[in-house]
Amino acid sequence: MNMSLNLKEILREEMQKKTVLINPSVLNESYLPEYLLFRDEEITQITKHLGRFLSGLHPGHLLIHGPPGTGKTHVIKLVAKNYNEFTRENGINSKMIYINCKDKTYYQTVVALLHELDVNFPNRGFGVAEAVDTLTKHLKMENERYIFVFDEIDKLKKTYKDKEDPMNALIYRMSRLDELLDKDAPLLIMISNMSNIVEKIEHATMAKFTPKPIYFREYNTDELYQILLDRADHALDPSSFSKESIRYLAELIQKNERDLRWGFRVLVEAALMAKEKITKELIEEAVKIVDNDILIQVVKSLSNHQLVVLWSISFLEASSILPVTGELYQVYKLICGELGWRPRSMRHVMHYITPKMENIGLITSREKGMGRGRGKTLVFHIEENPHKILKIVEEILSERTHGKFKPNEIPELLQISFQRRR
Amino acid sequence: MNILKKLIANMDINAIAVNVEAKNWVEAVKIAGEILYNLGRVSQEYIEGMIKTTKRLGPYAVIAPGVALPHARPENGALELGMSIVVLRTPIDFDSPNDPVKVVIAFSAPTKSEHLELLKEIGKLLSTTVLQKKLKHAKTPNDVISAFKEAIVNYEVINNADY
Repeated sequence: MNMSLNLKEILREEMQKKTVLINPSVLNESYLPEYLLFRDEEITQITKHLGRFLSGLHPGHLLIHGPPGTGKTHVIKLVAKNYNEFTRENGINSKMIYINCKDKTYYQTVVALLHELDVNFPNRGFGVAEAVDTLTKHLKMENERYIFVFDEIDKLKKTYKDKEDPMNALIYRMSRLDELLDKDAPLLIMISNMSNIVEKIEHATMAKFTPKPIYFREYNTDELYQILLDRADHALDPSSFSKESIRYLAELIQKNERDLRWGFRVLVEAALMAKEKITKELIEEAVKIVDNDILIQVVKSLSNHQLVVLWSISFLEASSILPVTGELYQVYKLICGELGWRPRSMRHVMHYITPKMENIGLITSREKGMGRGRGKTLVFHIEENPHKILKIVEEILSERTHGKFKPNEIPELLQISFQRRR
Repeated sequence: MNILKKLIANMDINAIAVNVEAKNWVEAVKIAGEILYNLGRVSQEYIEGMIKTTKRLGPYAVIAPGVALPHARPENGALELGMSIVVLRTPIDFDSPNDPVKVVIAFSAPTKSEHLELLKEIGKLLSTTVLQKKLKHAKTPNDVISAFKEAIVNYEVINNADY
């Protein structure tokens, strides 16, 4: 450790640094505001539905969907907070429980629900059947009427043991709890940001689930502006921003097809850089930082073989060679050989690795004819600047391989970079 | 262009073969490798290494239209700096978009840094179509040497020019 560095002093300086952020938590992703602008209709609709449930009816389940950053989670958390306060204040035996399914398996989701219900159940060692059985027994004994909220249901993690899609399995089991309970089952609220979520739910599941769908539309520029302005009013020094710069940020969100979460991150970044005023130039600078952070985060989430494929496509593009299937695989195989890895088959690369990266939005592909009678091939394209991607991937791979990945020292790659085609 | 310039200036006429007949790409690579071996620049193992690297490189072994560049790693038996040039009578296929190949340029360098540097220099020089054409139409070893010398001079003029 470099002893000349006074780490505590650095911490103190950063902590006490004078910024225009007076209440930074307001711009955090986890911040739950007391009110939500432009969502009155949806909030009222959901609350009325739950009010009917409180009256003794079972008004049916809900399926909330809409693009990311449209307030679905915030709305439901706000409603849940008020619902639980209301039932507690009025001595009503009912509770709303929120579970985020992201990166949880079907089993982990049910266990998380059991833990929320204060049921002692081990995190591992048992199967879904035992977990559901425990849940059923608990619900049978309890007189409380529950509302279970499962957020990000499409992000449930599939394990190698899962024969069926975990999302469908969860919805199927939860919506059929009444058959096991011989009484009213909990009301279910499923949340997803997939536009085609209804199509993804199988017929057999839908037959029992039959939810009332509630769609959260995207905010328009003016609404984005009002929301950002409202948050800026609470988070920033009033003299540090103008309405024009906030409107400019709202326009950038719309223009770049981003969402409010991105907008808040940009605002925080710009505020940290601002000495006195958050100008349009600072916002532009902050956009670059945030986008770069997001890109690095996405690239870091890739597996080693995905990284090599991404590097190969970027390398070919940077060398002005069209990254078609065969040429891409050749470079990928070369690097695997250099690193002492067993290359995945061409079929695996083309059917599993590249489609995954296409889904993330890092690359695109198109079919190209190779000439009469020679069939078709796929041409890949990097969405970002290939030189930028090369740099990021090289850093990550070098770290993961303990400095073994040195493309500049591989003569075969150097030769490829000098390729001249007709 | 330091290494290449020196190599061309001291080029042995026996390192160049023109109007050569080869059945396939392996034979063409072997001929270029044998020349280096006979001049004491590489060991027999290096020739095998050249064939393996050409296979590994696949379509990229042919660096420019009609010009293949077989080589192996220094640790595969490169004894000294060397270069051999083979101009084929009948062009052959290397299974590359740059087929058919008329000129095969083999080289060796005993150290990693010299290997990379020489490869870079040859790569840069072959990016001009003038040299590619002159090599393909060379009738004698002297034609090959003068084509290289001319290309090096032109490259240096362009890259050292004060604009």
